[in-house]
Amino acid sequence: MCVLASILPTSFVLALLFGETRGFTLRELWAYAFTSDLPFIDATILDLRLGRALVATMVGAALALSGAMLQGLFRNPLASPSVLGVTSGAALGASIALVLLGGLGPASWLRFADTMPLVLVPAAAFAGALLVTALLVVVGLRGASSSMLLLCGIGIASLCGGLVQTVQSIVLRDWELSASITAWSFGSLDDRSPVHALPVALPLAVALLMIPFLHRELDLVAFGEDTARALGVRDLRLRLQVVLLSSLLAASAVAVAGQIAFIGLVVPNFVRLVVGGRHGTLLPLSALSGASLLLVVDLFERSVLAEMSLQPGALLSLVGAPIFLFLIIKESRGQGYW
Amino acid sequence: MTRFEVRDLVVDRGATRRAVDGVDLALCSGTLCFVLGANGSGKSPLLRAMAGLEAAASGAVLVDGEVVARLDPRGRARRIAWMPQGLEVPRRVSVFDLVASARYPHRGVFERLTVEAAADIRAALRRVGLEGHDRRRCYELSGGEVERALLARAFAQETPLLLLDEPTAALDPRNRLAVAGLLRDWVAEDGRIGVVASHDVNLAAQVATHIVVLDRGRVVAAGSPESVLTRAGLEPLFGSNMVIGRRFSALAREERPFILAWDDGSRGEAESVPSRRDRTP
Amino acid sequence: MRVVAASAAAVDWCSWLGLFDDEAGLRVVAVPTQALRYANSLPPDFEARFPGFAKFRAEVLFGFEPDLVICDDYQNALTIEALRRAGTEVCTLEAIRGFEDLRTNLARLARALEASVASQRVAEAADRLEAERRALELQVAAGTESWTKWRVLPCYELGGHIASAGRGSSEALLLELAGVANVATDLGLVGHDKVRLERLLEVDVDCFLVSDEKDIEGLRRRPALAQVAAMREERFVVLDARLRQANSPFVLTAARALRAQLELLANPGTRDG
Repeated sequence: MCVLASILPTSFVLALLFGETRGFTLRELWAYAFTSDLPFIDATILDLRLGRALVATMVGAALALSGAMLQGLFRNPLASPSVLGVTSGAALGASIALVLLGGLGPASWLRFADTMPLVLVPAAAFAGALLVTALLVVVGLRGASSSMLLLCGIGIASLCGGLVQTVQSIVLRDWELSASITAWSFGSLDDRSPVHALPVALPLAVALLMIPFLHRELDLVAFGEDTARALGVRDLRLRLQVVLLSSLLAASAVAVAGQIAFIGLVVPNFVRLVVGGRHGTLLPLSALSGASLLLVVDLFERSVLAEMSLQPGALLSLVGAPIFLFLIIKESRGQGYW
Repeated sequence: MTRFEVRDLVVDRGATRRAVDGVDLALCSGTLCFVLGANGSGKSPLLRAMAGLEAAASGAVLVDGEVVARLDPRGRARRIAWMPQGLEVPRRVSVFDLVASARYPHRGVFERLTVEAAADIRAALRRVGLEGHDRRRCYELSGGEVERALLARAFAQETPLLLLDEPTAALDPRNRLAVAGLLRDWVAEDGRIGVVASHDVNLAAQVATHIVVLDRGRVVAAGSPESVLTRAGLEPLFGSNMVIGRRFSALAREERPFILAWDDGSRGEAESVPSRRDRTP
Repeated sequence: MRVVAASAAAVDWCSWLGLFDDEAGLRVVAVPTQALRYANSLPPDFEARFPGFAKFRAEVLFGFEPDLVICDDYQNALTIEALRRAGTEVCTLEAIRGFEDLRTNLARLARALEASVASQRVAEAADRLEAERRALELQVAAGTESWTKWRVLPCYELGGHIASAGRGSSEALLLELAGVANVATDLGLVGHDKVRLERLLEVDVDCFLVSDEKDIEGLRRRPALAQVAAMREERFVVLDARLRQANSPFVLTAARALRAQLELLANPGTRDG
């Protein structure tokens, strides 16, 4: 527990010290943080690394926490923000925005094209994700069970996925445009500023503050929905809270950094293997581990793989999936897992 | 004193089927009521409706005069414990955590588990014979042990009313008797009320103080074991394939009827041992 | 003045403007590694002289301490924004969809290089651009050879399909400047898109424009194309992929090269002479 908790600050500091260009010393970092008598170029590089590290922390934590909550609610280790359709909704919003900005929209928009993608694409992604969230909440309010909600999410996800593909095949003729959409769908942390961390930090703060009101309920849901109800859990309210929180987390993370797969699905499972299924520890530790993992993987990509541009999602899957498979196979011998 | 009433309860399954069709029931402290019935006779829906898990199409369930459906969920869980059918539990949860989950309706949001509550949980485990097993994980338990752990959870909920759906269906005969004994003692101790859905007639014969026989959602027989456990009362459950006898029961500390599912070809004309034939109206 | 040419098109422009010269009055300090594969007319010792980088990221670019970064306008907007925020000038280039885009880009480069000695070269380049174009126009207007009537289909393999470049692509501009008709436009293609073979048979093609022998093999493997005039007459012109994709003034060079190739194909006798 303490080990896990110390990984985050350590990796955060390392993410500032090392990168594609020069490494800094702790003394220089100190100067950057408190005395600001660094050469301009060094300060600029540290600004960039700080923005990147903050966004990685927030996005990693948000995706992992979102996945952990959903897995608890649906009692299914396969649940993650993407099965709810929230990520696909965001992808749809972003693609539409990119296409409108890329020349298929009104000509007047192009005048703003220099600054609009910075705001409009994330905003559209967020709007797309919110639309899906609203749909799920409506379905949830009508009293759908958890498995119904899950199925609804999967349906919405494939609908949005189909629409994204439609948009993509329409603009396939436009190299620049399809390159932008593909780049977005890979997900990236490139050149985010600290401001980008803010829209993720807000829902993350709310979700972390809500953990005391959710973790026991989610523990009880593990015994079955009926048992949880019989023990006094307000199941409808719990479902709505979890779906809303995890959707907001995923929506903001995806809006800022694109689709970074793997974290939402694997990190909570990973943490569950290590510390067990009590949500009181599982939820905060998932957030912590998601943040640390994304920071470390991104640091690795920036410092070691300098000559190769690899997106965090791809790298995460390459590095994390084999370890995860090994753990699962080891664990599944004899005792079972969930 | 607790009073538990079911008034003209109707539970629908879909548009065409009535799972529970106008059940009336009134139970008071110290009653261990067995609801007997064949598969599909409506035992589980009746219990779920009693626990407030299923909405009634009409009628009402009342605890001490209060309508269960209108109680807030935690308040309801402080009065009614419900134990579902089957032995499904999360595999990696410890026995202690499994039983401790019963304390949820008694705890505030930021309240930690008190020393007294932990002691209660250990006491519940001791009662069911799982003392010292609290650190084991559920996947390490046998079926009988899981059943006992679930029973311990129901006890640890400290409710005046206990509803159990087929608590002995997965157990061997010895464990069945042991669980029945635990239930009888728990109910007798503090004037609680227990309702057990089961098709184990012989268990009912030994520990029940009241028996209700359900057939297609309706009560076809109700009363003391002696009055219900007759050929006519058990017809919905056995058809005519039964042999009824009497024998001393250590659990009941007196002579009780026992029933053998056995087609002796007599078609109800003769009984091997005489018993009272009066049927309760 | 330290300049980073951050895309293949930017490297093309620098190369066309002669900014890789030692006497250019500025120093190109870095180029993307992919430019080696896609840029035109690079100096022979290019790879050794100009350090390459793989990632278009602000920190990587800052590492070269540039005064000016030249890149494409569809590259990561956040990176461009970060560079500008830190006081580095960024000149973004339009993709070439028509001749007007060449002028626009040249004007932007002129503005970006205003302060440097290299502005002289940019001014000369503007004249060169117009002159080259006029020369081509005159040739096209005077052309009476049989091949000037040919209808050409630029094509390449794309995921098992034949793809082509229609209206609004730099390859369409290349054909337009060379003075030959683009079949892709007849097919109604906009930008780069798949070619439907059925439609192709309907409109017919006189000549295929390809990048190498492999492309020709690919076309021959499709029996449906046997009926097309270009196939019956074995008319293929090969133009290096870098020139075909030239998102830069090299599109003019490419147009001249295409005319020469077509001439050669129409009058094979000149080859021996």
